[in-house]
Amino acid sequence: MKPKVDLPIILVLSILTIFGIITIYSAGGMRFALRQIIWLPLATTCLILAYYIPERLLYFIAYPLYFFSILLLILVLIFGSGLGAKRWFDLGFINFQPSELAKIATVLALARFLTARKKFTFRIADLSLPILLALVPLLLIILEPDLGSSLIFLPILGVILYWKGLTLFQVFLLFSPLLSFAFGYNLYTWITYFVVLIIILLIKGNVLQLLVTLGINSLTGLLEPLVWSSLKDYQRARITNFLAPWVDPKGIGWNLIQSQIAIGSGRLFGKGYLSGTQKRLEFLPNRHTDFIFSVIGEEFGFIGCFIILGLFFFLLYRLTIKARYLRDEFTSLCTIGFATIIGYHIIVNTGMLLGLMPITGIALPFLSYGGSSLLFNFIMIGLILNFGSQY
Amino acid sequence: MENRLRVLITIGTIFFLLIIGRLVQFQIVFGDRYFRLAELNRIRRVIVPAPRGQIFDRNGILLASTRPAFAISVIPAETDSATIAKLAMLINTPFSEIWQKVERNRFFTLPIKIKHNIPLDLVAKIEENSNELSSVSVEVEPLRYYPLAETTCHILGYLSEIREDELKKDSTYNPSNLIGRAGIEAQYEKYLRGYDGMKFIEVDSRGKEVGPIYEKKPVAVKAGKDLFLTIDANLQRRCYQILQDYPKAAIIGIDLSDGGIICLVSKPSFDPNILLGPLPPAEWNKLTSDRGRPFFNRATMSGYPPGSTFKPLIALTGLESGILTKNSYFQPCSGKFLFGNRVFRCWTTHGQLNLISAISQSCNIYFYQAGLKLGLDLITQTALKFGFGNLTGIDLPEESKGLVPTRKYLDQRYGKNRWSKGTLLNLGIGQGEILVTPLQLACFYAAIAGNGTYFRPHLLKAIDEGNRIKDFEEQELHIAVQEKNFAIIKEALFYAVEQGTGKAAKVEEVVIAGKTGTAQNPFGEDHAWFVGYAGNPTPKILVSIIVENAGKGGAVAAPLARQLVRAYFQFKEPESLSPVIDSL
Repeated sequence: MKPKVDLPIILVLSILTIFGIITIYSAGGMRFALRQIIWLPLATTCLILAYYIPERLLYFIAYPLYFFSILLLILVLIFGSGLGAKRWFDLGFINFQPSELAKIATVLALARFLTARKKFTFRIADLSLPILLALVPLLLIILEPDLGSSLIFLPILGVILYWKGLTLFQVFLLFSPLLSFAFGYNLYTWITYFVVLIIILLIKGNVLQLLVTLGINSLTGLLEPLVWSSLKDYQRARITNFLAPWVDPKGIGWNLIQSQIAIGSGRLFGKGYLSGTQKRLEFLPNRHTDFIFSVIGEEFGFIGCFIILGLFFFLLYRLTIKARYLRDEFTSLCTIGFATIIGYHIIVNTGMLLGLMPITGIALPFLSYGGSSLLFNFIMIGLILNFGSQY
Repeated sequence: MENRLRVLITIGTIFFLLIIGRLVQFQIVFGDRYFRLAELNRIRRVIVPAPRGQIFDRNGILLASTRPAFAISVIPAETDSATIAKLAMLINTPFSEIWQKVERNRFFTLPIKIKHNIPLDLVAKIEENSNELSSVSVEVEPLRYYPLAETTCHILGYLSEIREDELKKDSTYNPSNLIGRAGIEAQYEKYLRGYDGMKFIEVDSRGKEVGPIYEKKPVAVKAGKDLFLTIDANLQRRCYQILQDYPKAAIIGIDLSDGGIICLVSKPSFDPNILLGPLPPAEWNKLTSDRGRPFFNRATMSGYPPGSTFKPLIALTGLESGILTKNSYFQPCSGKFLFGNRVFRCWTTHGQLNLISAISQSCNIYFYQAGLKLGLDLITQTALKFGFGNLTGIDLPEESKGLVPTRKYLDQRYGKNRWSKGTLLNLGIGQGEILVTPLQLACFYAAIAGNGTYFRPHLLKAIDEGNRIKDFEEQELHIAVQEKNFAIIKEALFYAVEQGTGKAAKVEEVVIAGKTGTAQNPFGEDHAWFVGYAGNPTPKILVSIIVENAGKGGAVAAPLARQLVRAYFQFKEPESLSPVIDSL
């Protein structure tokens, strides 16, 4: 049997999960707290299974699992349910979001693909397949539509490629068309971005890179307005809102403002457990799911938020450094990929509540109410612990 | 690997630091601000309207009170034009009228009243549509009402919505407040007004009340103080009744023992109760454009020539200066008096009269000559001494000074000495330039009745301070005139009623003295005066009556005085009331 379990990780994980249930009780009441508790045995079982699953088996099922998850993503577009979108399967007793599975499967598939390539360079031949592996689920999830969840595949791809051996500059070049796309909403920001891009290319790149990059960048930059006009109203509103929430305080910016009021009003020590007025009087939307961090901020104040973020940071740090010691490339890439998923969720979720990023329906790992999210987060932790125990 | 790990951890750390930094900004730097915002979110301040003080008559009969009524309120800071449009449609009021009020208080986070005294069916309509009218509420508010309606309108005045400049001047008012606009309501606003309280309730994100808030202490309501007036409601009503046939008239009754106004009616009048309801603009226009000016208090604001009621003043002037005595005679009355090339007339032919008869018979010829003999300055000095040309100081905001045509005034008006002696002759019989209010005349006769001592007229009797009743401190006034001269005038006034021009005022059961007068009116029928006092053994009540465009004082005003005096002393009217119409 395996000798070493990373006890600090288990401890932090337990603290976060229990704290999550306590907060869910405060935010959503006994009903949601109980439901979350009901998920715990299953999630823990899966964690243990993941911990014991042989690495070779994992390597073997990487591609089948990936294709299975892609299949599910296609099926969910046809049979799925959700509020104005098709995001999950209603299995009666639970809702299953295939995008959760797709994240893990994509990390596994990318890891397996890259592990097989002993020689990996910054060439289209080498890059095209990994990009494709990430883009397929991304596009399928955008179609649901679930912009927030879909974007996770970009950092996964970026971080894994970087870990595999690309330089930061190469990763930057790879993602520059997306930046061009993002900055394209306004002519001036786009021009500014383009100038910076050219300067960077002139300093670090060669002629071929310069031409290709600028070409693609121009294309995506010009594409932006077209895509903007094809966005759904609520998506557009969310982005506008992020940029200027106080423009329409009674309308669509309300969620963001109220979440910020909730967090800010917690001040240093918070209003005390169960005493958040923003939460209690329903000024906070989705209090027990995506906005749970606002409840923490309101009831436990800066101290509470700081401790939670500290625990998250510790967890991520602890998970990430494992990747260094893993001699096996596949598990190393998986570890870094999973850590990226968890880290991305933490940063994007808290960032959006604090107005640093647009509001996207992304859950806070271990704390937000939601069975499948808890389940897959536990599986990822189980897998990382599994890899870590093998060196 | 080592290096790449460091880069990744650095990137992750930067993100975490950004988030921590943002938390510091939100929770520590601006924490208090956000805390206040959260409190504003959940706490709705509700104004608890303070009841306005009630007004009672001298016997405790209610003259002004408050009763619960429904009012529509809007929170300006939370509403929008669509909601107001919907509301305007429901209550059938022009959108602009409501919107103006909202705009004026755009950032006011408390409900402001936009419509008072709304009927029950409208309340139901609004409640039905409450989902679409989230910033609108129906509140119960104390509504002012005046049981005696138009009978007491000029005494009590009325309330109206507070103006912006008044709000700025006094921060203890809020835009929902009504403020006394006229009469006692305005005069004693500081006592009558209460101070609105404030309670705090917790509301959820939909604005629904969740419950009270215990940690924030409500601001206690301070009720207004009740006032007692010197008015006698029954007599007041009787006065209004007495004047029922006359569209424009005023009547004052004063208690001579303390200067308290027992009754005061001015006609035409208005019903102050409708001013606070949903008064249609047309109705309002009708009121304000009425040629009779119903808002105008004739008893204190309207200046008339005193006519013959002024003759005692001429006589007093003569007696005091020693120019006239009780037995002074002039050229006998032949019905007319030639002065220069002008003819000045008397209403009859009196023959030879002494001073007392000249007053009681109201001979003009006698007083033309007396006036000429005394000269303008002596007369106007006496007039000013008795308070003519000045405010009586009654506790009402509406009062006018009248006019005493002094030399200075006439010089200014016509140029130095450019005015004719005819002015003086006219002044001798109380006609021409001189203008007096019924109240001023009442004060003059009060002074006569009290031998120069009388009280400043007032309406307030007492203030209910809660733990004690604070009585009004009446102010005694003295006018330095020899008592024997007053005695002569009083004798004359007694005879004026007993057998003179004021016979129609005579009351068998009580001593009554007084003087009739007819104010010449170049624009129409003359105005009828009667001023006098009654009581045994000393005068108790003073009566001053003017009836516009009704003719002679002896024929019109004197019988009214009789009725009032009878009512005051609670004498039964004789079975068959044959009005005593003098030949006058």
